[in-house]
Amino acid sequence: MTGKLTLALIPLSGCGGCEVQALRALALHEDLQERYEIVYWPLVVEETRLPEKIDVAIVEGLVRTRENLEMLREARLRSRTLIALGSCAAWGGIGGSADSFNPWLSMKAIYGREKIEESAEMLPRAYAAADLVPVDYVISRCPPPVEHIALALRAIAEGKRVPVADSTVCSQCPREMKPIEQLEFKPGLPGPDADPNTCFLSQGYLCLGSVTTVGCGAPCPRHGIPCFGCGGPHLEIAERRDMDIVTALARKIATLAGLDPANDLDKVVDMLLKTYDPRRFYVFTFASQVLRRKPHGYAVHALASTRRNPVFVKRLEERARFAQGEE
Amino acid sequence: MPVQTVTIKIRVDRCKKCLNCVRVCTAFDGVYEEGPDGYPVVARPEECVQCLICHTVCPTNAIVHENYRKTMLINPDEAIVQRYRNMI
Ligand code: SF4
Ligand code: SF4
Ligand code: SF4
Ligand code: SF4
Ligand code: SF4
Repeated sequence: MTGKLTLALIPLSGCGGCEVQALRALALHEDLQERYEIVYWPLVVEETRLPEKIDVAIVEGLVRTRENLEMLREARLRSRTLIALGSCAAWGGIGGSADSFNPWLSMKAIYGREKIEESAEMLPRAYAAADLVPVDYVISRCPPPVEHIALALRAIAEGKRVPVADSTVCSQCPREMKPIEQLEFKPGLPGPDADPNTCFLSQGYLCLGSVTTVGCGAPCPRHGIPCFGCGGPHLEIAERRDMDIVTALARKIATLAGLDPANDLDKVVDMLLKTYDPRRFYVFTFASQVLRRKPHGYAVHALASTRRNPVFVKRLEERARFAQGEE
Repeated sequence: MPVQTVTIKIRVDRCKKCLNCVRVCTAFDGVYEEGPDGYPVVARPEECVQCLICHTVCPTNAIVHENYRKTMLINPDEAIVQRYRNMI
């Protein structure tokens, strides 16, 4: 025994971005190299079998195939501490948008047939890892910042609790929030005419900063792009059944516009959902069971309306016919 | 039971000075006021009716209420539950 904690990183269906961030965290923080021994991590070590007992296991990506599901179960059973790393593992992330389409039709559209011999067995839907097994920590964001990973691994090694931040992206955004004079929403993204020093909401553009968990330093609004919520919903929105991304945002917008956040809530929600595709509020949380279970069902509505979208369906069917003809 | 007074704090390190809290407060005279530096000040904490709506409209979670009423869940002891098990 080296006295080090054993560390395994188990990639599920992700893009590898989280893995790179975890690797950077270990490369940049030498104290972590002394505290952890990597026992399984296909990107880094040659070991092909997951050890029976692991101190800390990290999963990246979402659960898309049967193999992903089995690996996730093993990761949970064999590890003392399990971390869901990145938006995909925590909320379904960008990859969760795959749930918009029938997976077998997608296979046909890309490969010309529903199944390729020896290819992975697809599950009928995509899942966030954190929805399927209990996880000890979620380090969200796409990709998660190196500092968050280092902080969490250090705290775990020292037997301390990982501190939790409870504010939103707005608290780190330098843009000035001003009252909304006339409530109207502009579709699309802010153009060059948008004021670089004023909050997007105050200018009538959609920004998810006030409902997204703090920690990135608000790079997007600093550079003229509204927050798309890659950090995942703020803790309270995730935890409370009476809160959802759309409604929590509408409350803040209503108040900024001098309306009543309770009585005028429905009106503002309606305006938001008329101007923007419902998916816009769930870009990084599309596959999240936490949000699909919310009572008003905005996330489920986003899912249903995307799946029924005739443009998407038609394009996919055309593509499938084309791919089959090519064979 | 003694009446508890709430203490309300604004975490100015995260406050955006949007004054949503001033606009929304449901207390008759309003708990918050805009301060000289643009940050809200807790002018009349004794007016607070503990509705906590200000929390839900604050974009940064900058408002902290201390000592506000909490719902107590009474969880009966297993032994007591047993005693009533066969009661008709
Ligand atoms: S969270 Fe982002 S960086 Fe991480 S696996 Fe998913 S898409 Fe890639
Ligand atoms: S809503 Fe967006 S632009 Fe406005 S303060 Fe928050 S993060 Fe910045
Ligand atoms: S500002 Fe929003 S979208 Fe940009 S990195 Fe932060 S959480 Fe992600
Ligand atoms: S609502 Fe929150 S951010 Fe806005 S002024 Fe009040 S405390 Fe500050
Ligand atoms: S809890 Fe209600 S009454 Fe108290 S300060 Fe907030 S809005 Fe005002």
